[in-house]
Amino acid sequence: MIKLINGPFGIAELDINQEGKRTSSIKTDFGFCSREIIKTALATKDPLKMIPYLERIEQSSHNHYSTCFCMLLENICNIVPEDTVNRVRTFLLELERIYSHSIYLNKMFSYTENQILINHTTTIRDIILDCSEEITGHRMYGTCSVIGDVNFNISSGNIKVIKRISDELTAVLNKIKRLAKDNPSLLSLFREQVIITEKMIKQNYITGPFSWYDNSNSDLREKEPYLAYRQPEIKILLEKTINLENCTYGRILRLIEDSDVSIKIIKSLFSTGDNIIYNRKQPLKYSAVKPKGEYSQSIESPRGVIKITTEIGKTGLIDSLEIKTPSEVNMSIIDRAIKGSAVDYIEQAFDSLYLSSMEIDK
Amino acid sequence: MPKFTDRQTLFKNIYFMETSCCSPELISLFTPRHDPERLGLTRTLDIKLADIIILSGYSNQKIINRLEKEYRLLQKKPIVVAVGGCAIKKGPLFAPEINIPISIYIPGCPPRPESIIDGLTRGVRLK
Repeated sequence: MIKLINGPFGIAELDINQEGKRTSSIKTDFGFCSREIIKTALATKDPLKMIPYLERIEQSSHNHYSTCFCMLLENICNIVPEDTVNRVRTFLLELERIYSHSIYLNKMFSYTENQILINHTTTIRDIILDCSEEITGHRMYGTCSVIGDVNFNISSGNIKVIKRISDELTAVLNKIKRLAKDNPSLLSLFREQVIITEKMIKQNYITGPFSWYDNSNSDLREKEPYLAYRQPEIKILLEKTINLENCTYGRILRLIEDSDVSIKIIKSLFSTGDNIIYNRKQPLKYSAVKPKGEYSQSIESPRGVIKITTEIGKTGLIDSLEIKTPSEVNMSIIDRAIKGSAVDYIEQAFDSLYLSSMEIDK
Repeated sequence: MPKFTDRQTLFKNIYFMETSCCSPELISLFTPRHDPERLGLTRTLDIKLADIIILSGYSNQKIINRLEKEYRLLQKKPIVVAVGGCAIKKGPLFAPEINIPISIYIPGCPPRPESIIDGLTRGVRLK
């Protein structure tokens, strides 16, 4: 029996039974919290501070979570955000999408031990961190994420920086594309690794890159356009061309294409080159306008759809808040997807499902 | 007469663990963009070969106990560098304390690769 625990904090636990060289049964435990973190929480006597406000697997998409929450509040309070806010949000979300994809690609390339590919993916992350710091004043970390107002303008100088950086990113991505295409080590490892069928996806309501099967374009940004995605130019960009052939290798190529699309979206956002100034109004006290009932908001994050639902009581205050993360939904397929794969490659199979980004404790 | 293996090499080996928010900075440190090898700083995965140890990010009590035990067993004590708020003093994630003598502190949450390189070159001079 093998036990896999994802990350030092512990978020997913797998109990795997093997028969010969193949896996016979898998038990999953999601939301499992390591004992160490509970111990330190008890020592500090402040357990609330120790509870991570983000899912550990989706640690690199905190901006998506906060934007989803803000959009839900805007919906309840009938606030219409300015065009500047939409642009800044879309810019940050697309940057985060590339960042999250590069983490996944880095992990996939690390199995091939191709140092050039690994270096390229890390430089992408480095460029994105520098870019976000230059414009917003913050590096893109989960701990730095603060839910709040857009309180900065984007000057013409900033737009020049964005253009330079997006050119740099496209150059690196082209190199990755060239190296990853028909790469023999990638093909041998991920050609017939994990097979997810259309039936499995539709039965379990799976979203994100996980749910991409042959010629599918399941993207919430297209179906329910929000923010700056309403622009017709971006809608055309969201269409994907690479055929997946139902394997992990195809999904890797599609992710490279997806991050390329994100760069094109960023370029089209600031194509005019004019200063984008945010006219900050005086702070006002907003209250819920909508009547008593349930309201929900969903967003397309790099790893699937995030859904937040709230319940508003009689007094106009929020009674309950429920967050449904994509990994929580996608974990339900694990036992069926990995079952039957070779035990030697179980770690790679688990990683190829776009679930882990950190090291795995065995 | 000293053996060949006892001689000090030109390159200084660095051993580090990457966890939490410090990991993207430390990973990008060893990429061609910053290239610390031009200053004679290389990465090692074996703590026994390390000239410099970097402590960074949130590490739980289990990892700390293991690290302290390994440090006690080392014959040649390497220079220890604490990187970031968690390793220096608790930090935003309320990390537990580490009982290892630290010679260089690099503050920041997390610090940039440039400042880590600056701290490490100071460590080489100490050695």
